[in-house]
Amino acid sequence: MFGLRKAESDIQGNDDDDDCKAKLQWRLQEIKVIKCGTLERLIECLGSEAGDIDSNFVNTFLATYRSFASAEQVLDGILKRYKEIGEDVKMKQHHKEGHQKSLKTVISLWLSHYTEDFHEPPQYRCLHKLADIAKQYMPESDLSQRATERLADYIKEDDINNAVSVEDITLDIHLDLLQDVDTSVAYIQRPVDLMNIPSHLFAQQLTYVDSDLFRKVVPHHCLGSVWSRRDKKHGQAPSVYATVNHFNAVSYRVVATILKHPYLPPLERIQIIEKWIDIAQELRVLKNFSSLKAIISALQSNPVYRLRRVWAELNKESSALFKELAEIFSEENNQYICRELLNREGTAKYADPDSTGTIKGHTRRKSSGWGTTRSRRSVLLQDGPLMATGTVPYLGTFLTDLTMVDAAIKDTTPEGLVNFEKKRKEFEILAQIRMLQAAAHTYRIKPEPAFFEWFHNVRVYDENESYELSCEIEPITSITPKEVRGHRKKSSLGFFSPRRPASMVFEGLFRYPSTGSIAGDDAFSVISAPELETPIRGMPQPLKHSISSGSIGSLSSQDVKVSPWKTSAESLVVKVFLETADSQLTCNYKSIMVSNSDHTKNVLRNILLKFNMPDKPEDFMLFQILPDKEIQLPDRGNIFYAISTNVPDIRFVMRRRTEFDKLRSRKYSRAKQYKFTM
Amino acid sequence: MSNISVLKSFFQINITFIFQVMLIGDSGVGKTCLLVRFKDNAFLSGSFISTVGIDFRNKVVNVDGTKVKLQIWDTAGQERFRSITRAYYRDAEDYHSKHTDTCSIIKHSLPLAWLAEINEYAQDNVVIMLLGNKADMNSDRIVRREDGERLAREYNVAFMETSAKTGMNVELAFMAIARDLKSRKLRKANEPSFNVAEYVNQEKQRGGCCS
Repeated sequence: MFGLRKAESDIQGNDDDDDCKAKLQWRLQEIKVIKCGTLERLIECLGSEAGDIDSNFVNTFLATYRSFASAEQVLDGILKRYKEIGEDVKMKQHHKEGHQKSLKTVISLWLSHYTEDFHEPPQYRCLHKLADIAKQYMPESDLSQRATERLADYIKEDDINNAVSVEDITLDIHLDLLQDVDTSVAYIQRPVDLMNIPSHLFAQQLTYVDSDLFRKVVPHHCLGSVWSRRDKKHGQAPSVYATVNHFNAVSYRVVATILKHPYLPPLERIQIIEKWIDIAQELRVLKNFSSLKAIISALQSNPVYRLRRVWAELNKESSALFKELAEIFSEENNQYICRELLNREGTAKYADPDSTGTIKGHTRRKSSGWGTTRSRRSVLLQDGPLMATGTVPYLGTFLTDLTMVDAAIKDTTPEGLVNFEKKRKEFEILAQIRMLQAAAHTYRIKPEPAFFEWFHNVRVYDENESYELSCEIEPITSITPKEVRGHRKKSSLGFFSPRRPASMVFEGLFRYPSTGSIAGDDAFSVISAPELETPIRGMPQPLKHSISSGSIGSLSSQDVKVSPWKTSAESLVVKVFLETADSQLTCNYKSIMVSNSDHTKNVLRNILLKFNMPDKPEDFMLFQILPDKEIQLPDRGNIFYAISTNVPDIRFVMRRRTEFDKLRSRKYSRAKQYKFTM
Repeated sequence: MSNISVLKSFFQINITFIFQVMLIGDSGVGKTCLLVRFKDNAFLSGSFISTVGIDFRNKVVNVDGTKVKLQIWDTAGQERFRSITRAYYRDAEDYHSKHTDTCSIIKHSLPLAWLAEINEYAQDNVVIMLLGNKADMNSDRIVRREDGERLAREYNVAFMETSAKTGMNVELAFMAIARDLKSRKLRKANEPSFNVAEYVNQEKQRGGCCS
């Protein structure tokens, strides 16, 4: 099927630029625009007899082909076409050469811009194919050589990855630090406190991670067909997940630091909120809209935002600044403000504080309190008052746009052809991402391990826990004068009241849909019942069975026959956190029952089952988390009696043996070196 | 702030009511598909994704001769970010939640906690409707109709099953919301309130245009 149609393009008219007095004459031109076609036809259009390529088309094709063909299919198609041209007796020689040349350009572009397409361990079929055929049919080009080199690189990489001892701090420092934990070391070291980290340093460190993650985002992972369709398997967009996970990690930390101590003097809590607003402001200057949004949304999240008494006491400046920063992400007019800012500043060197009303606060602060911060910074940096910065956009906006395009436009035309118009629209968005990624290289920030040490060690809470803490700080009744208004209110509050409607049919559903399911829904396992006792209180409390029943249904209760929250002399309920190199330790945990006849291996086996991991129990170790330290539980013997029960709740962390050993040696050597410079 | 601006626009345009509708639900439940399906002749062209050229966020519907504009907020694609702030429904006039019917129950939760939370704050002019989308997928359905209805009863919200694929009830869902919002705005103290559930039941079988 032929999918070519003609479309008019270009403008007609005069360019009235008085300055140069040059009048440009435009003529009406017809440009071939491919609207739809079969894969075969699309591949034919990649090349041209003249030897050049339609870069718009080729780039669009390369960026979006994955929704209608695999890399191998495309490569096969191109190579087949290349051979066919060579064998075509009717075609003139120079046309042949031109066409072949353009196809080589396409492959070359593909190889250099979309390397990940060729990363197909362990067989690397595409690279092998390309190397072989290029050698045979394109002896004059370097494609074969490049394919071979790439192949060698990948194989080497894989070998390294398979070996255990890789440690590239500069590349993966944040991941290491986010995932590894050694609380005991941290406690010895007295890690830096949020309030002690200068806001601009804090913002820089976040930006270091964000920009790194953003640069690693593979644009086509963002496509609606990859990211947001349910019928697709998860894990197809790891680069997007990485960004989401970090975004959520920041957000969790904001909430956690604010809610941590229910009995904190109000003034201190206010200062923590002001600190975050201050950091948010620094992120704005750094044009890091990702963490900026994470902080703003965390401050607006219910557990924090409902603390009216605290917010009321916020100093006027911070409060105004917060409003202005929040305005950036206003939904109004399809997030017009945020889009505009990105347009204007996306590839500019500096944030433009005077450009829009939304960052008035920035200018205002410059003239008042902010000046001092700034001068301090100039001294610190010594290379000028402001660094040229890149941009880290909030990826969600693009994901929404791409989701919308995907939902609104069909993949194929009624005749069954690939709808290339859709691909073109998608490419426009992907191109923006690419452009910003290039700009993100401008950041020059060095990682500060002590920061990550802090970042990692923040104990975070899930939605339910946060809400409970929040209610301890300001009880519900005091802030809801409307509560008594009608029966509707009363019944709805049942969520946290003893009269929990017993709709156990919805088991597994009593959790917040927005919990930002870490690494995809499958891996998601925050199944916590609202906890009333927190380690901070320092005092064991009786477990309030009735109240936590709200999420009892979410316990995978196959092996918990009795009420899981009742501890008895023979058994204990333990929350187990999993910590591995590929899963970040957050608030995700599984609850398990440990009885007085359980051996460590048994318990480990149960835990692995719960986490749905195929591994052997011998490969893991268990630690109990105590308020002031961690204790390792014996590998052998009856674990029940090794558990310290003198705590409000019993928490375990499970680590892989190999990773723990590695981590420990590294942590100790590192722990000596770091001290945060102020 | 937003609340004020909403009020302002409300008073400026006398005939047309403007309400905000939020679509909330897990990734892949078909929020955007509902929007795409919910077409209306009075498309408002806006400054929306201009490069992309899609605007199905603003709809004008006709409720008994009155023009009601629904501004629809859909953050599809961002479900996994913890960014859907509660500020939305403090400001939004209407809060429109939905859940899914199909796929696994673990992956697609009912927004129970949200329901509780909205009720902590929500003003009386917030309309909540629980939608079970993908009702066409009978064989794969996970959330049973009765369960959806039960939950809706428990929280005293309207419930209906929709299908963006066949168009079943899509129009009706949005219309019901527009109607309810409008009646809340105009209702005098002693008039009986508009009953969404009743209206929905009456109209239920009429929807549905197939493609």
